[in-house]
Amino acid sequence: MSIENILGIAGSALDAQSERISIIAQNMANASSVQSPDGGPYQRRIPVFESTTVGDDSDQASGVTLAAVLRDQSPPKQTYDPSNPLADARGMVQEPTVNPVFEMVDLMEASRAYQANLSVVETAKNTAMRTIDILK
Amino acid sequence: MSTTISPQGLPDLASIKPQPAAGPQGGGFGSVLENVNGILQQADQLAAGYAQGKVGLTDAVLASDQADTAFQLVIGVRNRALAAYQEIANLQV
Repeated sequence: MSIENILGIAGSALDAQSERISIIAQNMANASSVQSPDGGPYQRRIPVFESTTVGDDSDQASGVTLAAVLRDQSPPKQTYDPSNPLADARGMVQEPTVNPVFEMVDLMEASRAYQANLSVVETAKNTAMRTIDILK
Repeated sequence: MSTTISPQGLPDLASIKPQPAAGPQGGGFGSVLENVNGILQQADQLAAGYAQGKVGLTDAVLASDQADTAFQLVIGVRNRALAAYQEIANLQV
């Protein structure tokens, strides 16, 4: 297991976590989008991570990748607003199930995970540099 | 006419021929330098690719970090070699 492998693994995690943050940004931005291209309100997106091989196959190093982005299948939130042009016959407007508090907690978790993987990169770099310092 | 007297266990000095220095193609420090140069250029390309929006930030930064590590190693080896040479050159005869 070499330095390049550590950088490859931690780098894949950095990529995955930043993808996750961008999905959270998308959810937050669409927290009140009552319409979407697929019809109906915006459906909350859920990232799915998957362990994957990084670098040379012989090393069998496992990094992480974003395998899929799923949609929250729970029924949309119903709000009574008869004056809204999008309201149905009962005066209900369908809104996304995005909960901003939920998304903020997820954002904090993703940000901390990103920082943790940055620490791994930093440690790998420092150990390599200190090994090279033996020459001095 | 002089003859070389070889002490027991030591090689006959007259039989030692100077070895041709290893060129950049023949392995050795030259090829290492070329490798590191390749890594540095790759890191530069990734940085340019990031500026053009083709490469991710982490890829560019990690390649640059790896290139820096390789370069520091080469500098360390070069300093070691130079120090050894100077020690020999400064020997009092």
